Amino acid sequence: MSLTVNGDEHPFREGMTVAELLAEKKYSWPLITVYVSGARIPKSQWSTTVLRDGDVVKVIHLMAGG
Amino acid sequence: MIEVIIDGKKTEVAPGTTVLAAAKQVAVSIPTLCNDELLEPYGACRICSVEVMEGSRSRIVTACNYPVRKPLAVYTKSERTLAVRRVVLEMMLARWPNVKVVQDMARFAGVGEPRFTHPQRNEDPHACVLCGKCVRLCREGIWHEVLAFEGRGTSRRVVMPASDTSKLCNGCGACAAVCPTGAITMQDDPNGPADPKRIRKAGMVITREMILLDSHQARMRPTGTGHLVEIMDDYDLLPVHNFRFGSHPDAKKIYSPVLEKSYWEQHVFDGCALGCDMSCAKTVPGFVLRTGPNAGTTVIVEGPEYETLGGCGANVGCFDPAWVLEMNYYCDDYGIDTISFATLTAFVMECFEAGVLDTEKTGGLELRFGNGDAALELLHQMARGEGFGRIAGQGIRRMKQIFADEYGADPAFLQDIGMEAKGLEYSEYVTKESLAQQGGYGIALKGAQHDEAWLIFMDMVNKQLPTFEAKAEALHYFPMWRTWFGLNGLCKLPWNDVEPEDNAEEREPQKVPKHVRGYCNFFAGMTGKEVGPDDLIRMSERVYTFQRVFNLKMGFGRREHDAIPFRSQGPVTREEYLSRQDRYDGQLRDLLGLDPAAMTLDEKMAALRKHREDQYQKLLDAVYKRRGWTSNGIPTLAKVRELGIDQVEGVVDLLARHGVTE
Repeated sequence: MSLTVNGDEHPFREGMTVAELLAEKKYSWPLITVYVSGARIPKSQWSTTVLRDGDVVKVIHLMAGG
Repeated sequence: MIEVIIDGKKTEVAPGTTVLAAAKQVAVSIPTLCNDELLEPYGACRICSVEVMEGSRSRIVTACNYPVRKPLAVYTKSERTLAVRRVVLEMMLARWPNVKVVQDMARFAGVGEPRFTHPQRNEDPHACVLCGKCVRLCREGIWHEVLAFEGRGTSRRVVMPASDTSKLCNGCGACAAVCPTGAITMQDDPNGPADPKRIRKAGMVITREMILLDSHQARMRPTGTGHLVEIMDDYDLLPVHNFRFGSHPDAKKIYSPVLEKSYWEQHVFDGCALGCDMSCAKTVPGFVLRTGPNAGTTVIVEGPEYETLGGCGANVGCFDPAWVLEMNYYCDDYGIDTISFATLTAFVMECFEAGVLDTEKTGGLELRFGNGDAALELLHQMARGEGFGRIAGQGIRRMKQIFADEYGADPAFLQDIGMEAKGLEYSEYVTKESLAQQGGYGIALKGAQHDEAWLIFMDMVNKQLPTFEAKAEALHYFPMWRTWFGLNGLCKLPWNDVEPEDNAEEREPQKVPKHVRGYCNFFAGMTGKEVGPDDLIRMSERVYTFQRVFNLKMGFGRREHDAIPFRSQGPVTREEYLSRQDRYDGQLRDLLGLDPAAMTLDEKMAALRKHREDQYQKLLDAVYKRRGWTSNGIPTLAKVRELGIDQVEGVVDLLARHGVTE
């Protein structure tokens, strides 16, 4: 059971949310946009959007930087 | 959710929603004057007064700040509402008969000639109508609180503290932009812009985003770039112990919440760029120095920002704000750049731990990672030009030469760990896993500074630059774009450290296109010349390419000068390889088809190194091609002609002397 996150495999757990995935990946950058299998998930829905096995997730980080 | 009926239209709102916001939900518009999306509702002008019915009671309230707590009905056009609105506007019109916004609203409400005269009748068409938007914006939005009300009743007026103009005002122009009557005007600046209104309009786009969005985006105003410490630590990009590692358990001691809670002073205009409402630089007041010529003195430290924290904290292993602040202060005092100091000291520390240096050579300084006191003493020596400081202060490039010639150190090892390019010490990001950023540092004209390109996330995390061509395209666009800020005396942070709320919908969100258009408006407003995004890039390309030619003249402009130390590309030491063994073994398997299990550590390191070094050379090929440079990294004659810089005396001859004639 796995997800694809930015091209890499990531273990999938039944019931895991977008917010939990971001925490596991330590994706703490404040300017990111999340797409789950093509659909954009707004930040307000990260903790309530549940992922499914096989989902293709893109976590696009906006550049910024020092 | 609570039911609200507005002019017969039903809707539901969360408790606490204002009547004005509820009306918007059902497309009912209520006139307002002192209300603004950037500000807390104020209820001053009374124009938004409406009749509400809660239960059996009907009364007049101001829609902008009346919170819905029980089901209610709102009548925005009842007789009573209209009568109240008319009398409010009548009174305003009596006092300010020639102010356009008052005239328009009064006419719309059906108010004719006022029935009375006001004792403070003011015929100025740009009179202040005491809406308070300027005062509130300066306080709530800009965090400067330079404007205030003075006096009561009919003698109430808006003032600056103590005098007509205040030094505390940074001239951001937000108050003038929000004033509905033109009572506040900006005294135009000596640069003589062609269209100052256009510039201010473009600037207010950023100001609005800073006010509404920054606090849940990058938090530039409360933390500046300091928030990057924890983020880089999370992403394994925080330089630790001379860029060997990307994170450390003690890094949390210098995360921004520590600085925010106990050190940084807030809401102080930093004077960095007049009129900037990001104002992200921080200061630490009341810091008592422990070392050096000013030991015992209480000072204000300007900083620290990310680089200083990443360098003087993480890279040298001194995970304590007190050390970082003292290094920050003295570097500023001595006129030494904190990045160069941190990175050269990290190099020295690794040399010490590797046995290249010892206390005899360093005059007794135990320059190990984490020894902040020794690092500070080194800094003082550098400033005095004494002791080992006199050697360290010459920078990594010269130290490599000295350590090899005079201490018999292995030059190859020094080359690998000496984090400098073109003689400039690397700034504080770990680039091992981002080929694009390795190029960003290595090809940069001034040396290893990331102001030309910061592509680590785009490349390494988003994986948006999978091919050499994609990397080369990014290494063309972004350095050209970022050069433009320097050409215009602008800071780049407002470009992408705050972003429009809909930026994610853009085709190329990394460019933050809305802000790029804003900069086109800025340029047109300054010069009177209309420009598009491509024109801005062209401006930079001309200067950038000329700078490359100048580098060539000064001995830094060929492929060999774009070389980078292997520490910036991959693991130099066994310890580094083992610290990320799974990652590196995986890459040997997936990218090179090798079997790590059948290889010794040294074999694995050699294979990885060869691969990464080859990749970098291929990247240079792709970048030079995209930029119109020869395979030796020199701008072609065709390119130089295209940009018109062949007109500069000596350019064509210089190129010819380097074998470039086409």
